[in-house]
Parts: sequence; C-alpha cells; structure tokens
Amino acid sequence: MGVNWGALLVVAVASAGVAVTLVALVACAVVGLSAPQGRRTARTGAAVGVVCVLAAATIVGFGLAVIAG
Amino acid sequence: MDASVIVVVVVVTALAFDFTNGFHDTANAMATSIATEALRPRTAVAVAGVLNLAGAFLSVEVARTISSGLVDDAQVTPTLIFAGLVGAIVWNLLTWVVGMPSSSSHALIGGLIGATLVVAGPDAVHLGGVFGKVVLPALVAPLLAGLVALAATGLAYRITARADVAGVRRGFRIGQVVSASMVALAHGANDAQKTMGVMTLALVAGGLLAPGSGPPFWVILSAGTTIALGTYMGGWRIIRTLGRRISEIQTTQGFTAETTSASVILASTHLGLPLSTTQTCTGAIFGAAAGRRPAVVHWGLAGRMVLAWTATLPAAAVVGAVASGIAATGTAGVVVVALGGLTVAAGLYLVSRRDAVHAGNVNELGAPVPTRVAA
Repeated sequence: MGVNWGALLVVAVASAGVAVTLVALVACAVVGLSAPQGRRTARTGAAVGVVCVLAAATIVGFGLAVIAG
Repeated sequence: MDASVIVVVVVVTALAFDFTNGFHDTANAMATSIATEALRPRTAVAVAGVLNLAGAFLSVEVARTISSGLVDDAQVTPTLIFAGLVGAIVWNLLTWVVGMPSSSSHALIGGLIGATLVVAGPDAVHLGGVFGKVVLPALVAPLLAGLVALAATGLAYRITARADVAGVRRGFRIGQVVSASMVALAHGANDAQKTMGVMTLALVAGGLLAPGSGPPFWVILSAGTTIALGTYMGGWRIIRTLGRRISEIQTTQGFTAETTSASVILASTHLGLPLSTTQTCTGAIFGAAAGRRPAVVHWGLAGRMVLAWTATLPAAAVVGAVASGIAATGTAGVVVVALGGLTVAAGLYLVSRRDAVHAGNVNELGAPVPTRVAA
C-alpha cells in the first residue's frame, strides 16, 4: 500500500504541538495586553504579552525557515 | 495534433484549473476572518492572493509527488492530462456554484486517474500510491485538524475566561490577520504545486523535459501567479458557507481554526504529503466551532460536505474518463472536449448569476442551505 505512517505521525504530532502552543501563547498575550488598570498590573500584563508574542513569532519564523530551507 | 501544440493546450488548461483552484479555495484562508470582520472582504482576498503567490515558491515537494507518484509517467500523454484537467475543472465549478467546499486536489487526481484508466488501463495507475499518499491523508487531515482545533479552542477560552471581553475580541482579531495569512501562504505552498506537477508531467510526456525533472522556474511563476489571481477573484459562495453556515464564529475560534489549518498544511507540505487544504480547513472550522458550543454547529452540513468529498474523486474521474475517450480520437476530439468544457463552464457561471454572492453580501446568510440544525 505504500503508506508512509512515519510521515503521517510526524505531521500529526508536529502540527498539533505547534498549533496548541501558538494558541496558548497568543491567548496569554491577549490576556496580558488587555489587563485591567492599575499600573503594576498593566505593566506586568504588557511584559507577559510581549514575551508571548515574541515567542509565537519565533516559532512561526523557525517553522517557515525549516520549510523554505 | 502536433506534440508541442497539445502541450501548449495542456499548459493553458492547467493554468485554468489553477485559477479555479484559487477562487474555489479562497475560503479556506479567509472565510472566518471575513465572517468575524477581522478583515474586510476585498482586503482579505488581496492578502490571500499575494501570499498564495509567495507560498508557491516555498517548496516543490508536493509537485514532485504529483508528477511521479500516482500514475505511470511512461503511459501518460499530454492528451490524457488535458482530459483529466477538464474533469477537475468541471467538478470545481459545479461545487463552487452550490457553495460546497470540496477538494481541488482530489478533483485533479480523480480526473487524471479517470483519464488514465480509459487510455492506458488500470496497470498505469499506482493504487498503492493513491491510497497511501492521497486517500489516507485525506481521511486523516480533517479529523486531525478538527481534534486539534477543538482542543486549542477549549484551551483558548479557558485561558481568556476572566479577561476583558472587548480586549480578547480585539486581540484575536489582530491574531486572525496573521493566522489567516499563514493559511494563505500554506495554501499557495501546497496547492500551486499540484498544478506545477501536472504541467511538469505534461512537459515530460511531451518530451520537452527529462523524466524525473522538477518544475522549471517559469512553471512555478505561472502557477503561482494564476492561483493568486484566482484567489483575488474570491470564491464568495464558499466563503459564505464556511464563514457563516457552519456556526456563528467568534474571533477566538477563527484564530484557532486558522492556526491549526496552517500548522497541519505546512507540516504535510514539508513532508511531501499532498493534503487537501479544503478538508483540513473545514475540519478545523468544525472543530473550533464545537470547541465553544457543539450544540449550535450545523452538523447536517458536515454530512453534506462528507458526501461531496466522497463523490469528488470518482465524479472527476468519470468526467476525466469521458473527456479522455473523446480526446483520444484525435485533434477533433480535443477540440470537442475543449468546447464542451467551455460550454459547461459558461453555463455554470450563468447559473451562479441568478443568486450572485459578492464582497458586499458575503456575510449575509441568503437562501438557507436545506439541512437540520442540532437542538
């Protein structure tokens, strides 16, 4: 039958891992960046948001680099 | 018919298929973003068009699979490829008219298989390759995308449960611009290559390219440009189905569906597995919809889509087989098939004009799709 089970498994695991991780990072970023007033809370939230966005962007960039390479 | 003339006919027909692939699959990337108003309709299709072109240059792994893994290259002729493409185009246009998302990939493969069976016999079709590289991944893709999107959506709502509602909506709306762009890029990387593979196959069959060759640069450029143009035309009918008729989609769900789709499509493209982007994206949208409230998902519509997907490969194969039988008679047969295809395309376009869907009314539900809504 020529079924490439290995490749299918890699696709399943990699795509699930990447998708869930990205969604979690962006969700945390959204929560952080929409934190309520109170200067300390807002600053902490913004910091968390920025870190999460950068982490997500890094994952996306790395993935595209692997594919293009 | 002179060999070089038929190759030109095949290349033109392949680009026509690529164009239909573009507007047929615009919804995959942009339906949820348009439905949630993260992007305006015209902006969405413009972004999708540009990124489809960029994606076409990312990888050629799928192109190689199409051109050498499913049918015996030695048995394939340019006329056979032409007939297969006609089968794929007719099915694409038919499903577009009824607003049903279906796999352009399966339509193309079905058309080629049908045409090959008539002209070269069953021995020329690598059934193992068809099952292993096409059918099985196509079964897995929507399920995988659906389950991942379901989990990701549940996680996203849990994380944002106590956050400011307006802030969450705004944040994920911005996120959708990026995620939808990634799906458009993934679509270009995956789908433009199918046409590249067919064009390369035609060039090899016509003796203009060595067997086993990858697609020349002009093939990559023309296929990428054509799919981008088709994408910009916007398959509004299918955009409405995916964006509005499955369920009422929020920005959170749109983001999770698009992120899941892009991840699955890009991973499979990188490994040379020609997944159906339509089935992947549709599965992800259903999964994301169910991740919030399963009861308001139009599951009956899912059943109709599965029927359409199941029919795609054999239906395109039948049209491809008929076209192949006629075209194989000679130049007159090719002309008859070409005129017949154009007539069918024109007729389907006129039918679509009776209930035109466009950028201005794409988010209106319009005439209801006859299906039952879960209680």
